[in-house]
Amino acid sequence: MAGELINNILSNFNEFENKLNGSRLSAVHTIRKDAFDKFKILGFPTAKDEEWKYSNPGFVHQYNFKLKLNANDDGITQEIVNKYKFENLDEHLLVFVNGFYSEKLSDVKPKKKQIILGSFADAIERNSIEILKYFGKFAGYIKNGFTALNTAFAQDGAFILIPDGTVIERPIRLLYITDAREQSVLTMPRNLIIAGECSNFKIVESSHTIGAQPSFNNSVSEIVMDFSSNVEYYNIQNNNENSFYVGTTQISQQRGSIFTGTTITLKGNYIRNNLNSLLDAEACETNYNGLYFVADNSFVDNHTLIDHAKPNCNSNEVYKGILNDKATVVFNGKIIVRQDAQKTNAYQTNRNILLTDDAKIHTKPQLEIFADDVKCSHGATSGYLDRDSLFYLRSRGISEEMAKTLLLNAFASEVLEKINIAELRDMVKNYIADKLIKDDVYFCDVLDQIKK
Amino acid sequence: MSLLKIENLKVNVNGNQILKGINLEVNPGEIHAIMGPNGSGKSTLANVLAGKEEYTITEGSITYLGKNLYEMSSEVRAREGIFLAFQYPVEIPGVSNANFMRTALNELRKYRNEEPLDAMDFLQLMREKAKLVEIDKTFLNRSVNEGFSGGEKKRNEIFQMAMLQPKLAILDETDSGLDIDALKIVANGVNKLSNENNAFVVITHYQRLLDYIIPDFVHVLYKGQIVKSGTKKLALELEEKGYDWIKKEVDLQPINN
Repeated sequence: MAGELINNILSNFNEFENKLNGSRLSAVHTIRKDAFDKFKILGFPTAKDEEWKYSNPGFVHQYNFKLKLNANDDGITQEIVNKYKFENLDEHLLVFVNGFYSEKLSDVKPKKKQIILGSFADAIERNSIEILKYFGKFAGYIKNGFTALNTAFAQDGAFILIPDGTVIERPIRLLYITDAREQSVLTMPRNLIIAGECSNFKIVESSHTIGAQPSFNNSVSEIVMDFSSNVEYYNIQNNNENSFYVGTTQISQQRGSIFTGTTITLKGNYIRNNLNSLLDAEACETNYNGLYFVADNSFVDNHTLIDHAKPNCNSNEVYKGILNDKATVVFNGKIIVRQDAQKTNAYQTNRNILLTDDAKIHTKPQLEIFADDVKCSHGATSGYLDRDSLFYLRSRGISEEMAKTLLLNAFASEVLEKINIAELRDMVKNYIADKLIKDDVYFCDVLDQIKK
Repeated sequence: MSLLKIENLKVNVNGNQILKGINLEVNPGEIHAIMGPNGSGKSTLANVLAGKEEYTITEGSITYLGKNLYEMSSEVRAREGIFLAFQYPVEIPGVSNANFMRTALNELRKYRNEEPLDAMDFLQLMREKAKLVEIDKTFLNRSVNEGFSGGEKKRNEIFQMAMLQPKLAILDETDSGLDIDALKIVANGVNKLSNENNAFVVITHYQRLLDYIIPDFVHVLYKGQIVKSGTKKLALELEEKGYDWIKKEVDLQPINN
C-alpha cells in the first residue's frame, strides 16, 4: 500500500495540468508547479521529522484516498446542509463539496458589492491582483509536505475579501462537506481571506464527512490582515471517526490588527491543526483559544506558532483539554520573540484533564526569546479531576456524574466564555453536557436564566 | 430510634489506625460537642461520616436512621440528611455558588420525588438564607469559595447548611480561624436552624464556640477514643485546665485495643 497515494498524486497532477489548457502558463500555476516540485522532494512527513514526532501521519499510506479534481455537488441536498447549520444562527453560508464551492447550496447576502464572499476558483479569474499578491506568500510550502501538496493542487476554496472600513455582523460560515459514501476521498480546499483596513468580521469553519469511507481534508488558509482590522476565526471540529484532517492557517498581521483564533475539537480520527501568526508590525494583538474534548481513539495535535517580529505586540494563548478513553493529544506551542520585538507581552497556557489512565497528552511549550525587554510566560499542566473538589460537591448530594460535569464545564468555561457567538457557545456547552450526562437535568446557570 | 449510632468504630488511613473504637449516640434535638487535642481523630470521624473514600472501616458499625451508613455513597448520605461543614472548604473556580446550590438542592428534591425549584423561588430562598449568615448578595455570582477569606468560607458552609436543611450536621472546626464577630454569625446561624428534629455534632478545639452554641453533651476524643463524656461543665473544665489532666489519666491506663 505504501506509496500508492503518492503515485496517484503524481498522475493526478498530470491530469490536473491537462485540464487547465491555456492557464497552464499562468502565474498562479507557476506557483503550483513550484509547490509540486517541493512536494516531490518532501513527500509526507514522518515521525522522524521533529515537528511530527508525536503525530506521525501514517494514515496517508493506509487508505487509498482519491483526490477529487472536479466540482460536483449533485449528491448533496439542502437537507444534508441543514444538518450542519447551527441552530438559530443567522450566517453567511458558503458550502464546499469535496473542496469545491457550491453556489447552489450556499447562501450569502453581502450588503455591498465590494464585499466578496465567494470561491477561490472565481477569484483566480476575477481577482488576479489579490491572488497574485497573496497566494502562497504566507503559508510556506518549502518545509511542509502537506502545505506543498495543497498549494500544488490549489483550485478552489473560499475567497473572502472584506473592504476597508467594513464591519460584517453575521458570521461567515465556511462549511466543508466531503462525500465519502462511495469511496475514500481526499479534499484540499484553499482559502484566502483578506481583511481590509479597519474591517471587522467573524469566520466559522467546520468540516463534515457523509458516508462511512475514510476522508482526508488537507486544508490551507491564508489570512491577510490590514491596518487595525479585527478578525475572529473559529474552527469547529466535530467530524466522524473515519475523518482525517490536516489544516494549516497562516495569519499575517499589519499594525494595530487583532486576530483571535478559536479552535474547538470534539471529534475526528486524526486532527492536526497548524495555526501560525506572523506579527510583522507594531501594536498587533494575537489571541489563540483552544478547547479539545475528545474521546475514543481520537488523535489531536495543536501546533501553534506566534512569531513576534516587531515591538509592542501582545499575544495570549490558552489551550485547554479534556481527554477521555484512549484519546491522544499533542500541544506544541511555539513563541518566537525576535531581537527587534522589544516590549512584547506573550503568554501561553495549556491545561489538561485526563479522565482515564489510557488517555495521553504530550505538551511542549517552546519559547525562543531574542529580545531583552519582554514579558513572557508559559505554563502547562495535566492531571486528573481534583478528588477533593469531587468529594465536596458529592457531600452536598450532587451525583458523581453531575459533579464531574460541573467541574469540567468550569474548567472549559475559560475558553467557552471567549466564544463571541452565543449560538456557537451554546452548541459546544450542550455537546459537553450531553456527553457527560444523559439526563436533561437542571444544567444551566440559574442567574443567566433570570436575566432572560 | 436514634438518629446516629456509632458502635466500636475502628478506622484506618493508609494502614494507620486512627479511630480505635468510638461509641456515640446522637438523638434528634441534641447538640453534641466533640473536643480533643490535635491529632486525636476528630476530623477523621467527621470525614468518615460524610463518606470520604480514603478511609477504611476495619471494625464496628455506624447506623443512621436505622440504616447501615457504609452502604451509602456520600451523595446519598447528603440526600438522606447528613451535612459536613468542612474544616478546609475547597475552592472551585468556574462554578458559581448559585449554580452549585441549585444543582445540590434539585438533586435533593429529585431524590425525594419533588419537583425542581424554579429559578425565582430558588433565588428568593438563596437570598433569605444568605441574610441569615450575613453574606453579601454578590457572593451568589462568585465561584465557590474562590478568593474567599477564611471567615467567608466558613460562613459559606453554614449558608449551604441552611439551604439544604440537614437532619444531622457535623461542624468540623468551623470556629477555627474566625474572629469573634464571624464566630457569632456562625453560631447564630446554627442556633436558628437547630430544632427538635435535627441534631448537631460540633467538633471544636476550643471552648469559645460553646459559649454561643450550647451543647447538651461534651465528649473528649483522645488517641482515637472517646475518653470522657459530660455536660457543658466538662468543656469549661477543659478550658480551665487544658487537656493535660485527661491525657495523664488516659495514658496511665493501657488502651484497650
